[in-house]
This record gives sequence, C-alpha cells and structure tokens, in this order.
Amino acid sequence: MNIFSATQIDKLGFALDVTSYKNKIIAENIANVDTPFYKAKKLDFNEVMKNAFDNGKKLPLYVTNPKHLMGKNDLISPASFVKYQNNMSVRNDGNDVNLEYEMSEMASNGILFNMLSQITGYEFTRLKSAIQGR
Amino acid sequence: MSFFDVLKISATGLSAQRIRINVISSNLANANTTRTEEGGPYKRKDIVFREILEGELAGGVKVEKVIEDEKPPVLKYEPGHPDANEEGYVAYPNINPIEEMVNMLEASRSYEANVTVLNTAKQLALKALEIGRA
Repeated sequence: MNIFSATQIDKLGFALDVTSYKNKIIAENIANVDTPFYKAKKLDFNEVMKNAFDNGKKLPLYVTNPKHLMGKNDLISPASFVKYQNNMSVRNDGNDVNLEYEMSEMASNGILFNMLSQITGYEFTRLKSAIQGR
Repeated sequence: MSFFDVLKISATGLSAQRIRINVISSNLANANTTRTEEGGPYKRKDIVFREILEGELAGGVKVEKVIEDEKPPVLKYEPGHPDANEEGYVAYPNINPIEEMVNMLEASRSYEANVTVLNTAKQLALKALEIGRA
C-alpha cells in the first residue's frame, strides 16, 4: 500500500498545482491589461477538481481486457481547462481585462493556496506521528 | 514550475509599463520641441503592446514597437521665432499634456498591479516551501 495515496496528499498536491496554475493565468491577464485585442482568460478551480476526481459522473474508458490501459485521472492538465472569460464590457481597444476582478481573484486564489498548503503540512505531520508512534 | 513563470510574466508587465512611462515622459519633455534630427517639430510617440504566447517565453506582454503619432502639428503665430515659416507661424508638436498625464496614471496603476502579482506569487512560493517543515 502506498501511504501517500492512502491519504489525501495526492489530491492536495493536484489542488496546489491547479491553484498555482490559476495564479499564472491571472498574472497573464494583469500583465496584458493594456494590450489591444487581448481577451481575458479564466480557470475554474471547481471545474478542474470535479473533472479530476468526480469519477461517478464521468464515463469510464471502455476496456475489453483488465490489462488494457485505463485513463489516469492524475494526467489531467489544468491547462486544458483554460477558457476565455468572454466579458460583456469590451473596451475601445478590444481588451476585456477587468483589473478589479483579477485582483480579487488573485487574493482569493492566494488564500486557497495557503489553506491547501497548510492542510498538506498537517497531513505530513499526521503521517510522521503515525510512523513514530507518538 | 509555475511560480517562476508567474514571476517572469509580471516582470514582462513591469518592464512594458516602464517603457510606456519612458515614452510618456519623453512626450511631455518634448511638448515644445520644434527641432528634431529628421527636421520639423517633435512627433508624439506611442507604443504598441503585444501578448507573448506560451512557448515563446512563459507568457506575458511585450512592447511590439514604438509608433509615431501622425497628428498634424499645431501652428502658433510667432513671427520672431527662428523656426517660423514665411507667414510667421511656428509648428509645435501636437501634444496634449492632460492626455499624457492620464496615460501616465494608467501606466503607473498597471505597474502597481503587476508588483502586487509578483509579491503574491513570491509569498505563495515561500508558503509552499513550508510544507512538511514542522
């Protein structure tokens, strides 16, 4: 048995990946706040997590032999969930970045990242105390 | 590694906005310049931003080119001026200081937003290093 997949650590690690990738998307939007015809991008954290771990709703890969390769969930890349925001208010220069929205997204994404990294730390502490038996 | 990408992206945003402020300050400084190397009055400069696509670098923004504003110069009646034409008019650059100041404020706000992104990414990266310390 793999002690790391027995815990939530692999999920937490994936969630940390998603939040750090989202931070990158937000940074790109903010860097391009004055670029003509730039369209703001978004990454929905909940959507990525649902697609990565909610197996009940997803059609499993059809196999005829148990030795066939199964689709592996942890191969999902957050990059494939990046979409355009399609904001209604496009400025005269064709740019639709909403700076206030991006800053608040960045703040909440940062808090989420801090929370996830703290929980990951606790998981390791738990593992450690289980190993040491005290 | 996504965090280093974010640092690079906000650095591109910072340098693009700094170049913009350079151009604006050059416009303001030359608001009354009647002599240039090409001859004639100074022409207002403007810059064009372009999005850096992923793969070229990490993403972000860059200054594509510096363009010259082809607005006609403003003619002022100053017969005593050495650059006056036969009718006594001097061609001054068509620079509106208010427009430049507004652009400067916008550039400095965008610069600040990029600084905030950079600080957040730095803080998140340091937080990630704390996982499993305890």
